[in-house]
Amino acid sequence: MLFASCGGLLGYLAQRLNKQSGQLVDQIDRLLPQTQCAQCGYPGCRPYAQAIANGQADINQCPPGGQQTIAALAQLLGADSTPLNTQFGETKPDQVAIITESQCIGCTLCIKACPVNAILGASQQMHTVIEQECTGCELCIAPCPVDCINMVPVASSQYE
Amino acid sequence: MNSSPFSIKPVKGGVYITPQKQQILQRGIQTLQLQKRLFFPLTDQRGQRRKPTVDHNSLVLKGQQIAISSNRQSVPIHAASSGIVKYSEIDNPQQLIIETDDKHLTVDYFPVNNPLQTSPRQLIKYVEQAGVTGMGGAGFPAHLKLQAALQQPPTTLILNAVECDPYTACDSALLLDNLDWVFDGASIIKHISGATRCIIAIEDHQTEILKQLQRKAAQSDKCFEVIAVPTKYPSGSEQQLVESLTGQTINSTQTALNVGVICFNIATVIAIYRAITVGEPVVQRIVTVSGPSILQPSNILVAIGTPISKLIEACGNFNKNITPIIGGVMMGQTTSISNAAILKETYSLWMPELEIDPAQPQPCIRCGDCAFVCPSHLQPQSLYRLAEAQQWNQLQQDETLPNCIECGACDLVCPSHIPLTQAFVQAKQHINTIKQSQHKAQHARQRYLARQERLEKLATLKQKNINKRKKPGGVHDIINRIKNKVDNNTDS
Repeated sequence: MLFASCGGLLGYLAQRLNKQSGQLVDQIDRLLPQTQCAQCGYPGCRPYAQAIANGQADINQCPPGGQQTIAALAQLLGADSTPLNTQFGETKPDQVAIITESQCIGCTLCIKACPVNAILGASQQMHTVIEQECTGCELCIAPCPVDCINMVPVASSQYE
Repeated sequence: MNSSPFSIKPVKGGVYITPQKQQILQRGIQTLQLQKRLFFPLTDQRGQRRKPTVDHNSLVLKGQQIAISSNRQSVPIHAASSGIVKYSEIDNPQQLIIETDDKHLTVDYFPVNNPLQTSPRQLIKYVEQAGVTGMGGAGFPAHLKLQAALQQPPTTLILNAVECDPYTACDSALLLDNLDWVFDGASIIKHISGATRCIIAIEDHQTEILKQLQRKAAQSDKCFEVIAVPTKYPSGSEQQLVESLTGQTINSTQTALNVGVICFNIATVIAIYRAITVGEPVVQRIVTVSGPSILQPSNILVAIGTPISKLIEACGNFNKNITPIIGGVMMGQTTSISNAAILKETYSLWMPELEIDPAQPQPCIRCGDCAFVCPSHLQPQSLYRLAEAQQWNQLQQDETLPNCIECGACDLVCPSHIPLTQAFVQAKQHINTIKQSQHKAQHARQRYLARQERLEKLATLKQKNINKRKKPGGVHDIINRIKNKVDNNTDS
């Protein structure tokens, strides 16, 4: 009887704690800049949030978020705010990718690389970046076989 | 004074600054001759972009629409003179320039013959097409305000003739010259909005205009009331005026309509009147040019788009190196653009004295003077501390900072010369950028998750197909069987 109740209690706690950790992942994810650039070493912001929640990653691995994100994460997790680990990259001003359309050969490699589906195009057709959707993650630069993608700073004022 | 159910509660806080308008008013309204080039920026105050509707190098007539916005949040702009349109940049113009001719050709205007018998929706369309915005500085499109009034009918129309800026007198001059238009315009707005009473509010030191208004109000319907508001800055701000007339506070998330009031500035009322009864778009306005560096402070009737420098030249200035403050001595801002032009909402140009070094800010001594004068019931000293500490979340909580109307009364009284308003404006901008980036991040997250989901679906589909192929009887099976046979044969 005792064992059964203990087992039940443990099962309940396991479930509850699991739920709480799910909430924690959400909370961490909400503080990340959502560039999905994978500079932190994880394939996106949510996996990184998961890794932080599991205690597998430090909070100072996000270059796009910079010191602000680290401070916010530190506040959430009750940890100390540490300087950004520059091994993962440096904070840059906001940028977007632009395809030089005259050079594009329509290989679709950048489309496959884009984590937020911000590139429009089809095989053998010219591709273009939807500027509003681009997070500036630079993941499309490396796959491009003709180097026709460049990063440009975001215009200071955007009209929507 | 007319008996009124509205008790006039003076605006909370505020500062008294001796008004200096008589000199300006005595000179009457002067007209500035048409300039060779008129400038029309394509981005409005709130960052909305407009699209040109005329081509580069094309001929336009006065009153012709030259740019519209794709959504209805921004009003169209019209040529203030006939002439040739030039784009500032051929590809993506930031502004339109009209090289005026002196032929004075005007498009045909189509007035409404019987405004009080026409449906409100129809009239609002006229107001929108004429490009009427709030001409008291805010520049909020008048048709949006009227449309909101259709959804939430107000009981009272307030005509705001309270020019609390001590050196601005353009609305007073307009009132003196066009009393009939104001009353007729008010009748039309009452018809559109459904308001039953109309209050004309004016500062109590304007005795001459007050007298004329009262005489006119006595002649017309009973529903017009003239109320003298105690002279105090910033009693002319919409929120403050509504609060002092109705006793109800409006916060930053509400509009005057929430307390059953619709409020228009005098110049806007006349613009609405002209838009409906003449069909004329907003192509000119009256601007007060004043300040210690101006020889002849005066009210000037000027075409929209006229370069500010020309206007100041016409009034005679002592020093060419001084940059004008656009929008009144209290709330105005200096401009960095060399060829900044008169917009529909530019009501005042102020030329300050020779630039003296501003007093160095000292630490806050917690005297509380700023809280005493704040018309928005805020505690500027604690807001300033929060802004300095970059506590953005706390600044937004309980609707504190958003309620600041940036009137500058706290700056004026601060014995330590702390630039409070500047800090608040910057904090507001910062909070805005944070909100925008949060919004963008939220959007990116959704797109990322949608893509993950799609990729997972594709992967499972692929796996299913492979599994299907591995079913007995499939190609793989046959190949395996043949392989086995061959193996067996080689073994034996």
